[in-house]
Amino acid sequence: MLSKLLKYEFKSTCRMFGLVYAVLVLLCLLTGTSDHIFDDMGGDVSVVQVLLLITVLFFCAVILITTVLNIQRFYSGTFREEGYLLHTLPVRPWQILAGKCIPALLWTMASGAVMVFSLLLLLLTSSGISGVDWSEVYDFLAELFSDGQNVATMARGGIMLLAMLLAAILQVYASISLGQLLPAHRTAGAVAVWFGLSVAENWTAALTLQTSVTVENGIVYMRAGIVWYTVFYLVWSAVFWAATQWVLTARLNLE
Amino acid sequence: MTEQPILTCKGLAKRYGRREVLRELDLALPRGRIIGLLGPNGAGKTTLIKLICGLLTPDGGSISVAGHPVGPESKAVVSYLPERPFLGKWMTVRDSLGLFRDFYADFDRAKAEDMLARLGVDAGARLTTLSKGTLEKVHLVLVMSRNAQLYVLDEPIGGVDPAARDFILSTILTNYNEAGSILISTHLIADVETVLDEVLFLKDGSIVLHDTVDHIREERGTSVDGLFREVFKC
Repeated sequence: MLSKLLKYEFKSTCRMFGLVYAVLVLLCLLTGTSDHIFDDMGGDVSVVQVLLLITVLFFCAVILITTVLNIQRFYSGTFREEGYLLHTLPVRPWQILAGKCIPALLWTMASGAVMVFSLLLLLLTSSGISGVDWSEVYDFLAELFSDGQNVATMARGGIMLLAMLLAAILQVYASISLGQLLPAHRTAGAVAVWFGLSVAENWTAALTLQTSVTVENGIVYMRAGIVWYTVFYLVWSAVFWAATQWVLTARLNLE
Repeated sequence: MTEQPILTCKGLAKRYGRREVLRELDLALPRGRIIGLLGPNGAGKTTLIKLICGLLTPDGGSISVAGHPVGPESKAVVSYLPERPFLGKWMTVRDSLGLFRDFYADFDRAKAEDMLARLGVDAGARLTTLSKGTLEKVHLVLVMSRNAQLYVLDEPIGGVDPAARDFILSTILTNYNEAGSILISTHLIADVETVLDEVLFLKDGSIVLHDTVDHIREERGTSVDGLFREVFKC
């Protein structure tokens, strides 16, 4: 049943994300190419500046759209009209939660990947990059990836970012779900819960960071490494998941 | 051996804040019957329906559908038509058919497609492009194309014109699984009275009457509509 939930969740969002990604890529291509052409022709660069501004704004819009869509899919799909269908399907609450969380995680990663790709496209097609010695770039990357320790550190960093992202998504879910426990002003309640959970998360981070710092001969050593932070975010993810699942299982009250 | 009821509620209670909406309600509904859930606004009809379908959590008591507590097993045998549209705005009619086929083993897709074709609904149409009336019909077709054990219909004929009412009632009567039961909530008693086998009168969260329609007519010498007006006289 989880695979079916995932299928319909992706179907519900793929058009919107596909459109946003296509616009971003095309915009970067247009801006980069225009820059190149105007630079070669020595013409008025104000057109390129405007295009560049629009591109930068659209990068911000992609982040905003990704965030809003992920929140809206959980809120309207779980606690508004579509919840009437979702909660009458023969599925378990954990499947509902996973069916929302996995697409949100993957779409956020996809947005990040498309933004990086679009930025590269912009740089590669614009005139500003014409002086770059590509063999140097290649050598640098080859050296970076030839060292196993570097690759391992980057992999650990990637996993930590994933854990951070998961915690951020589940924090929103937990806030929305706990906000539903209020008899009225549920959206305001969800926002308040989100701030409360953020404070709790920051306090625990600060406390554990404090105990993991040592100073020797005037040099600050941090014991808390990437792995520790990964565990930290995974623990918080588990807390947020448990809170959301508790509401969906034992406290569901659809308006 | 007596047949297991399709729906059993024991001491079912629900509060919204301090307000008691359902008060320790005991109920057993038999199989193969069409039951009217009747009561004035605020009597607790929609709350009872939402509890049966798992959209609300009870504050006390228990519910079982075909012997299962409310959960995936009960939801697999309950076909629910809420008052409001429940399909995603991104969907086409075909998507909604696919969704019902994917999740409900008792969904008869061919039957649904046939009904939609007779209504002239294009399967490729996006739901947002359909009129309110057509959208309601799509919802009804989906719900009634299941061979469910219990159909729970919340105000299916509320807010529609008399012609649409006839269509809705005939769709319900000609398509439901006769081995199952229908629980239908409505204010429009005169329109449904002829199709009901039993009625439940709900008042202030309590059942004040649970009787067969034949018994009401024979013993009390009045129609269900007449009795309703008598019981709920303002």
